Amino acid sequence: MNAVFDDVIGRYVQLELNNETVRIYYEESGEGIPLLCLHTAGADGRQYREIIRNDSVTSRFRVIVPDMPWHGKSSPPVGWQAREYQLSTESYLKYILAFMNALDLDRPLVMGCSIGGRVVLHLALKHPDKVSGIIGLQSGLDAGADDYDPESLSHFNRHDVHAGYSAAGWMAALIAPQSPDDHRWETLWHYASGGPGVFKGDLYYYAYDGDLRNQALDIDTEKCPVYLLSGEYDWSAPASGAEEIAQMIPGAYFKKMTAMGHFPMSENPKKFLEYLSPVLEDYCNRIGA
Amino acid sequence: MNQLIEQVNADDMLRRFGAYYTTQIQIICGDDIYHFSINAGQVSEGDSNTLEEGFSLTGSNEVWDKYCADVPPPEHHEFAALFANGHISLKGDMYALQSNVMYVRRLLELWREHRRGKKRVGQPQAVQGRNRK
Repeated sequence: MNAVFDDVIGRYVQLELNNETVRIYYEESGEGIPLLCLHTAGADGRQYREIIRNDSVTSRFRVIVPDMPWHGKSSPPVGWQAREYQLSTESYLKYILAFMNALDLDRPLVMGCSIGGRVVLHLALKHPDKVSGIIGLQSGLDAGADDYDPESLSHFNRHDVHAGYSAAGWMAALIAPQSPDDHRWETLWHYASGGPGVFKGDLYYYAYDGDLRNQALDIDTEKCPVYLLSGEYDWSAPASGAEEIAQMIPGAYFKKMTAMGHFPMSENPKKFLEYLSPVLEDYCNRIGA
Repeated sequence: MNQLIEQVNADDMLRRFGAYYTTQIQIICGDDIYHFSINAGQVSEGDSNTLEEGFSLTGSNEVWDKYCADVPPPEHHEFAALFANGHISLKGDMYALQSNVMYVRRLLELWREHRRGKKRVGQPQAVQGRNRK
């Protein structure tokens, strides 16, 4: 049997965050413009497994995919067993900036999906000097903060329900019916293998703390191009929401992805690359790369 | 219904997810009721229209038709999408659903395949009155 090796390399970096040391796992591949990829809530960097090993991307970009603290192969802080994890806008941004600083990433292009698709907007708004462009996948200004009820999410973090199965079962409903079965089930496996309480903790940011509705979306797209791609089968962060954002940011690009759900890079990577390629091309042209 | 029960009991995925699952599930589609009685993963047809435990999922024929389309439209492609978007309603024990969403999802998928098959061979659709299927 022939063994096939990817070009992807995995490493750990230890960061000081909120006076705690966290061990972050990340993967990278390719050379060129740094492209930082941020995964969805309750999942990890495996969602970008096909993007990070696609030659059309890695021939021009240094693709870097970290697992957030508590996610994937990144460790939670010491003492996780006696505390509840909760992601806030502040802690999310702090982690991303610390990671970028540790890897000495100079104004990367940052792509994020779902919570990542929201936080790239926070990044461009609060730290425009730190990024050279953003790609928001399944971005939305909010996810029902007015009705936010953590109790309604209890099935993601209670002892008598398998939180992994529960998360996978619900997330299955955000995947488009046209997506290939192997990628559908790989995507759901990531959810099924998440740490206890982590998905629920991420949803605090997604559904409540990261609400952007009352903030002016003052982003200069001449300095920081904004691209928004959204799948038509996503009812959690519907394409209409991303289109609304694009209308609020002069110069922003929006494209609705047909036959696609909430996890484009993971549920149907081949089709997603058809949408991503022209975006990357445009970005390269705009920065003169 | 007998054929559907056979398919359900022969399904590898349901066997995996349902080994410890005991409940009752009704799918109510217009005037038709599909009643599944599940005992440690073994499925049989429920013997009444009344649920003693578990839950029912109720939707109009139009909504379930969209769910059963060859390519279902957005918000109608998965049972949880129907539920989360208010296209179907749940009555009964929410915990029985939350404790095994993967099982319920697969059961609904098999029911969908069964219903698609019936439509293709031109079997009559729902008739008036409460019909146990």
